[in-house]
Amino acid sequence: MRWLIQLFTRNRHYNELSESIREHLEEKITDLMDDGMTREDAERAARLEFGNVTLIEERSREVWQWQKLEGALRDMRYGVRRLCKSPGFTITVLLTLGLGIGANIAVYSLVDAVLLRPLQFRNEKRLVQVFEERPALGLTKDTPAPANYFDWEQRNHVFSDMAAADGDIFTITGNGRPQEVDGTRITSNLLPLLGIEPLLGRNFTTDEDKPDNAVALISAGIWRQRYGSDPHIVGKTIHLNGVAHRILGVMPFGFAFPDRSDLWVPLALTTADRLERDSHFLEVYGLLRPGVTIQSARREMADISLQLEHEYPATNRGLSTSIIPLREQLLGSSRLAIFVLASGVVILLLITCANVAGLMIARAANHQREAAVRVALGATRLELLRQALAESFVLSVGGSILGVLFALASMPVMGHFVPQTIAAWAHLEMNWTVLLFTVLVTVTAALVFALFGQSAAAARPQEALSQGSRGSTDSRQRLRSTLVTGEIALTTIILTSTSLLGETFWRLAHTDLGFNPDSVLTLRTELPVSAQTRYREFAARVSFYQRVLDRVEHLPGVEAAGYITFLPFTNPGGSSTVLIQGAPSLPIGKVNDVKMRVVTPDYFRTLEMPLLKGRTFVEADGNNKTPLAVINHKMAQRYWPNGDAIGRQFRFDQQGSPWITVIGVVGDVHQANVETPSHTEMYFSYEQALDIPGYFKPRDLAIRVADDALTHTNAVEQAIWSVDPEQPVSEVQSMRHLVNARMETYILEAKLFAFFSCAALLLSALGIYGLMSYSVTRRTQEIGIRMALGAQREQVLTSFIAAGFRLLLFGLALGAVASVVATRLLGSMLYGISGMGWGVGALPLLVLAVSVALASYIPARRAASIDPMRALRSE
Amino acid sequence: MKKKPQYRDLFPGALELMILQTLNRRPMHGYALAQRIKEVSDDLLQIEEGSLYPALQRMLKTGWLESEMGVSPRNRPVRIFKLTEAGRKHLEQEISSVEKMFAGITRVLALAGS
Repeated sequence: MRWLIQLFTRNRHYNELSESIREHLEEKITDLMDDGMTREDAERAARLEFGNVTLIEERSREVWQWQKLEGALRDMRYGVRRLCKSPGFTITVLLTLGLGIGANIAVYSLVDAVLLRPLQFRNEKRLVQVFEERPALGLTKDTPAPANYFDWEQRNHVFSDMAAADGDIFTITGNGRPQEVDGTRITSNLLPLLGIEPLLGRNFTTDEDKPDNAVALISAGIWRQRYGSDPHIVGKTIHLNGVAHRILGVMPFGFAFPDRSDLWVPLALTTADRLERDSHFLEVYGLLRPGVTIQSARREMADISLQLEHEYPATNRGLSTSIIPLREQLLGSSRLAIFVLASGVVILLLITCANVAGLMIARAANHQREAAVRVALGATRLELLRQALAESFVLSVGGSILGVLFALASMPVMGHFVPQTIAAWAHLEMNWTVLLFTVLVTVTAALVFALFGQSAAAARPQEALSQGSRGSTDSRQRLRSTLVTGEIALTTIILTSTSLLGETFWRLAHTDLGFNPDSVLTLRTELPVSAQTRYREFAARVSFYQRVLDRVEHLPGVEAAGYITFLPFTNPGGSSTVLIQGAPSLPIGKVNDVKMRVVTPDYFRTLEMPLLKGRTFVEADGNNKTPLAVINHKMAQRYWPNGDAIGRQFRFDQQGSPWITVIGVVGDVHQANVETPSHTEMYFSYEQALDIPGYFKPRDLAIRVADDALTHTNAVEQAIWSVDPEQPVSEVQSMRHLVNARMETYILEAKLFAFFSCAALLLSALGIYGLMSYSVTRRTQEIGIRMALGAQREQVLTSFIAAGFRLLLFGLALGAVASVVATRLLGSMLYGISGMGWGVGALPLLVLAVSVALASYIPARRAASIDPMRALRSE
Repeated sequence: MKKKPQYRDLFPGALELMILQTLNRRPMHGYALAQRIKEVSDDLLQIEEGSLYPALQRMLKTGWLESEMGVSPRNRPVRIFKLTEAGRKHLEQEISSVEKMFAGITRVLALAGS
């Protein structure tokens, strides 16, 4: 407590102290005068004997103070006052720091949420996904067959456990609106393998993982939405595909493994399934034993594959495996996008540091004389450094606060970058470690350069005082030029990358998709084909499609409607291998793999896909005993390059499969996404069964309307429910929305890079402007002399602009070289652009050149307008 | 200018010890204290008079000294410093430790000389 009392009483102590010292001196003087001295001599002698009064008073006061803290506070107060006196400098530094720090935190928080922070799985580093590979058939990362999975599980020594899953779609009926959800059939050990436990209830046991055991785990989303978060949900019944299932548990919020699952039921493979080696449909996951590397796991799995190849040559010839870390698998291609973004931000951070450094050095130089005077008057170098440090500290804190505010504001935008597959777990939030790191980097740069500048000033006070302001260039100026050149080079990289990404986006937006996505409403009616439902029968499904289409087509405003297996941009769908009639037999290991879809007759008209040759399906085709197919342009080109595809035949590569006749050729369509060109494709009529697996049954409905697609949603849903009130309708959206959703990442990337570009351009321009105006100030006298000796204003003007452009050229040259490297890195993110397009790069570089010109012109004009007489007189 | 030897030259705490010892005998004000110490130590210890004051403040803060208003021999109002109980205890401790130290030094010197 005493320190507190002392804090409040110390002013009294100060007064008493001053009085004591004054008393002391007075008494001494009186004594000395008694000895016969004059008052003047006595005063002088007294002070000599006493010592430096001010210093002693200060030292005595310090006894009562927390000297370091109070000194620092004093320095900072002084720093703030000084900064307020040069608002231009202060605002520039604050904005520079704010922008750099803010952008860096925002993007790094994203990278951290998606790439760095472990996903919510225990032992996340040891989790892998195992795939089958069949390179001869061009199949990579294929889903394994059950019998292979069981053999792997028994024979391997590298995994502590292996689990399997199979995605499926479920219809929930009973209490409430029929609903279709994604679900996953899983082995009982999958959840323990991931390290996930249910929020309520329990996981099913190995004994419960058997066919006809109707138990289910539901997502927290379903629990909340359908059951109002009923705490007694466990043990209740849920109807899945018309079968009553007992709810065993509720999974934690956000859990949607593998990507958007809302239900988990036992995998429940039948004995026949377990021996299946030719049907590949499992997702297989493994947990590496502690200490086992992925490489050794790959070696071991390769050995096991070889054994299996020997034992089951009919099914396993040429079949190997691949092992991918689970996180890498789940993240997919977003990794590259995020990496590129992060690189962009690092560049921005570098530019920020360079700029702040430049500003600090300039400031130190401007204060060089002041510093020298202070040294001459007795300030120690330490005190000067402390002052500079305090000033930089004030700036850094201000800039960091701005940066944090900026980062907070940008968080919602960054959220769009989290890939859908992990959006449920990867929570994007302000990352304080990153914040600390960024602030540390920028602040260190600011401090280091402030100290560097200041110590140079303090080192040679005599020189600084005697040289006046005639010095034209010095080492600091050279350092700043280097910094600015670097900034321009970095800006060039960002600008080139931005224009390339921008062009990519433009090309994507203007790609001919092969169909017209405007004014089309799309939705999905997944018909359950399990043993218990009526849609198991082919005829029942055909009747459903016919009745729905009949009602939908008669709705007002509807122009055409058609069903298909999968609409473009929804699901890449499946393929089948075919044999072409009359074609020479294929070499071993080669197959004709053709994508396959089943449609209703009006589908092509609905999407406005062009019919190139022949005809499309008609209703009468249902009675036709000859199997028929419509193929796409690419398939026609591949197998009948002479343009005579109509009437030719092919069949599935299976024993006894009938020949199928080609009746029409339609245009190619971008099925998967905008970037991927079309595959060879064949379409079959929904009325011809042809032994096509149930997976290919039509489920997506497209409806072309006269006006806005979504206004028809209600009428269409009612029409479907009038056919089957239990049928769930899902994925209702416009075709345009489907297409644009796939482009969103590109749009955001382009926007973010545009933001980087603006920031980089602004910072570089600031850097050059600062350098030039500093140089003009330093050289005022020199310019005055030149002009007095006959230099023209234009000459002065051009010499300064030329200096700016020299930096620009150096920077551009450096940046161009670096850009070539950067473009390689961007490579796979670009679409329709091969390598460096100089035409595209030219525009932003022109912008850069103009900015540089402007940034050097303004100070140059100031230089040219210098009055020689005043300049010579100025110091 | 010849640099004045500081009290530190003697041994650390010497100035404090002298102040305590002087004030223990009789409370006095700053000027008198400075004169007294000069007088007693003479050539052995020449100090800047001013350097008394930071030391006095330190000792006030620690609680060894307290100050009160009084009157100087010249009838001026002055601040008189005197020892507190804590100051007295500290002085005793210091003296005994200094005595021990000197005894030690003397013995070592005597033995080394013989």
